[in-house]
Amino acid sequence: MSKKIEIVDKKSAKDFVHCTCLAFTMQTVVAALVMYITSPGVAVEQSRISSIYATPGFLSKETLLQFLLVSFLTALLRHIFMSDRVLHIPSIALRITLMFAFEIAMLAVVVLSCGWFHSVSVGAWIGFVIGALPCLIAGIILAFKTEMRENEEMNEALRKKQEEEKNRE
Amino acid sequence: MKISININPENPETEISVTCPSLTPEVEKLISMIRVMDSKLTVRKDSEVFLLDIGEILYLEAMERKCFVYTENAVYESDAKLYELEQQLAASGFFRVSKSALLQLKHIKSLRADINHRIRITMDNGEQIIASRMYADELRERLGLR
Repeated sequence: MSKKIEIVDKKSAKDFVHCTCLAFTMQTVVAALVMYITSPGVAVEQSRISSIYATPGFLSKETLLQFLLVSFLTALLRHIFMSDRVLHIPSIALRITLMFAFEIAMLAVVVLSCGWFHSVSVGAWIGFVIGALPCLIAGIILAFKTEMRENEEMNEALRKKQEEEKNRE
Repeated sequence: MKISININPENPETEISVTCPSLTPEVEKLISMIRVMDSKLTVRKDSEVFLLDIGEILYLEAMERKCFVYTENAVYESDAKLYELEQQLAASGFFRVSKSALLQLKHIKSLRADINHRIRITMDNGEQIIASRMYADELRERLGLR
């Protein structure tokens, strides 16, 4: 028998919008902070490295729209990998791994197509990989360990409870 | 309804007899409640009535206003509502894992954490039931993990 009682995911459009807004706010705040923390003298240098800072002093409308697109795609990936609507993978860690991998691939595509780092800039790409890879590996290891520990704890507690009930009978 | 209790120390065991003009749904409900106390549940399968040992039940599921009772190898139907069975079977180790399912703790084979704080429960017969977030928290509490 392989019957399974499923719980319908109650994640609504509101959750999707919430996730998109959160991602958009975080990106904008980080980009603005980087812009304002660094001295005005390097603004021209920044604009040469990345199209995000193409207009020194503020984030352009195009950049904000690109951030919104990334936020929307992030929310979409989260929606796909963190619900049972599309994928039926039992392992949370595997879901997180796949979500991270797709997220990084999506970011790479956006970076290339929006010219965030000029594609000829090898240094920027190395920085991107150096920044993304440890996050990906650490996230995956943490997710697998947490899941394993939680499953072990639950099953141990279950065995104890079943033993208690058996002794009571 | 008239209730009479005869206390007789010479009786070897407690005996309940029901006298009624006809077998109405209320009387059937009363009998099924008494049977639960005797670790039996009245169920139906293909219009045949069975007295099922509560220990054999893996889980119960409400679906389309019907209540289905699952054992290792068979599925029966009960006339009682899920919430009524929840009250009657609570003392036998049954608990709710979602709006539509009750299961017996001793028949759980394993537990696995699922997305959104849910728990994926595998029963002795391999079937999987997902405890929704709210009931998953209650299950964690029941297991002493909170």
